[in-house]
Amino acid sequence: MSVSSMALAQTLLNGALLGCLFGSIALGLSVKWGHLGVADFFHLSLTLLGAYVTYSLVSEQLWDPFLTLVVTVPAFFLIGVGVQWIFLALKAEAFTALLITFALFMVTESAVSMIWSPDLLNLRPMLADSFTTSLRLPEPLPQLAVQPVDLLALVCAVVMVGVSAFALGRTRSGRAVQAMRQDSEIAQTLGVRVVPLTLAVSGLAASTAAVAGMVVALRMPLSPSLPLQWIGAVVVATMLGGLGRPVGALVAAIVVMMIQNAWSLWFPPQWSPAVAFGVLFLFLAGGPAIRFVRESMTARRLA
Amino acid sequence: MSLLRCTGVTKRFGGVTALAEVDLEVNEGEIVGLVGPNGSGKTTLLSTIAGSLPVSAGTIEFAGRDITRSTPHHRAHAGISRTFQVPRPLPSFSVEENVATGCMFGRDSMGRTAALAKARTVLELVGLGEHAGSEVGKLTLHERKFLEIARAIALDPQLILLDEVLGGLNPSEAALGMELIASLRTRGMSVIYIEHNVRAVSTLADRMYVLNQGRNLAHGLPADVLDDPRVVEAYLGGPTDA
Repeated sequence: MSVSSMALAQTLLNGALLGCLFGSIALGLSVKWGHLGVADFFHLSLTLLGAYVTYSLVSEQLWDPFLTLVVTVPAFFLIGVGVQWIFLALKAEAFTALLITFALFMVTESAVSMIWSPDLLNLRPMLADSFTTSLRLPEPLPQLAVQPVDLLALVCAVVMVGVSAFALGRTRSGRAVQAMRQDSEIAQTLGVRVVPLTLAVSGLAASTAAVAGMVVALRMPLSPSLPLQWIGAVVVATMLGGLGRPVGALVAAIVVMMIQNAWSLWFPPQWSPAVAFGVLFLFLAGGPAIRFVRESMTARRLA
Repeated sequence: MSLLRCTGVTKRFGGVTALAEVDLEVNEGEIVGLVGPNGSGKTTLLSTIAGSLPVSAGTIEFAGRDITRSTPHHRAHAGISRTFQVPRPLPSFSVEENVATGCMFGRDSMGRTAALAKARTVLELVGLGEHAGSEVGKLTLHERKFLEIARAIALDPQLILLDEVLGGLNPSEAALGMELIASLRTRGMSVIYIEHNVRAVSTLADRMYVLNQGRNLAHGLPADVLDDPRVVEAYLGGPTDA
């Protein structure tokens, strides 16, 4: 099947913008996994919950979608703090924490089904045209179009990832988080207040799910099983980007979704979820091979 | 004047009693040696003083305050710092960043620039100045041990807990280490010093404590302790010619 270059470009652009949304979701997972050692699948459920709360506040209370963040961001911060507090209270090891978050993941899906119904809920018909009318790109690419909500996903992702990367890399608290990630006991003996820091990081990571959830509500029809559809791309982006690396997670999500979208141009789309894991496999298998070749060449040069 | 007083400190791990009613006192400006056979509870006692391990019973007072239930970071802020028997540098930080972390979050709570400047001063003091920008993975064992000391000094502690910082060093490196430990007193720090090399401890320490099977066996002046028949029997395994 031949594909025009414009169709390919549009597909890649759509993939990149969808990748921004997945990058926003992967951000919280990456921070919690990389810096707190918790592979928190509940983060995906929080994103779904954020989307449903946004849906309700917009469709029933007629709130502006952005105003919903005033409620969801602090609420999710508290949820994130609460979940981490439970891990600390239970002295949960990584595997125990994983099981707890997986349980919360399953419970949340059921709870959402019970509260909002398992049917598809779509906010888009209720949105103003400014959210849904496609925009043409300026010259030299007027054939390409983007949805305003996708641009919103891009802006949210860039802002959240940029702020996170700056906070982790350039601020005093970021240094404390990095010290804690490397060795929590040593960090404490050096004066780092590990417990409040852990709670704050967990709360902030959960807050990003509120923002991502708002974008999800504006971007796609909602169903309780959405996290199961996201989990592959989000986990792969988190791992490919490097645990605890916000920029890496965003870039990886964009790359994975571009490849996944392009794949569906030539191959059956039902195979596209396997693409993400295929990319991860190539990365994991290819990494050591590349390192081996590089070290062999270095050794030969030195000999 | 007493800086640290441990009274009846007991630590149990399930059914195993690692420390049983241990008493220990450190005065200001004093170097106290803590010796004992393997498994006698020396490092466990250090960990309870640093707050890494909670005590099962007993009390720990530092500078007149009860710190028995304080967290490790509170104790660091109060003026207690420690080294670890096996060096544990923060691997993705450079040598100076490892030390600067103590300056940033310790008692003085400095900004990053000031902390890095102070870290370089401390590294010069321990002889690691030329390695300030290096990766910690490139340090030798003795450099890693001295980095542990530098990181502990960076907190400006009143009491520094040294856990076998000379272990595994060759004689010239150990001599440098002993000079460094002796210099801590002149910087206004008190020291609790664990070492397998009893002669090294007795050279540096003002007083010594001996633990055996988690209990106080003896304490006093180094010469008196080394001559104590109970110590000779339990720790040295028999009389010596020395």
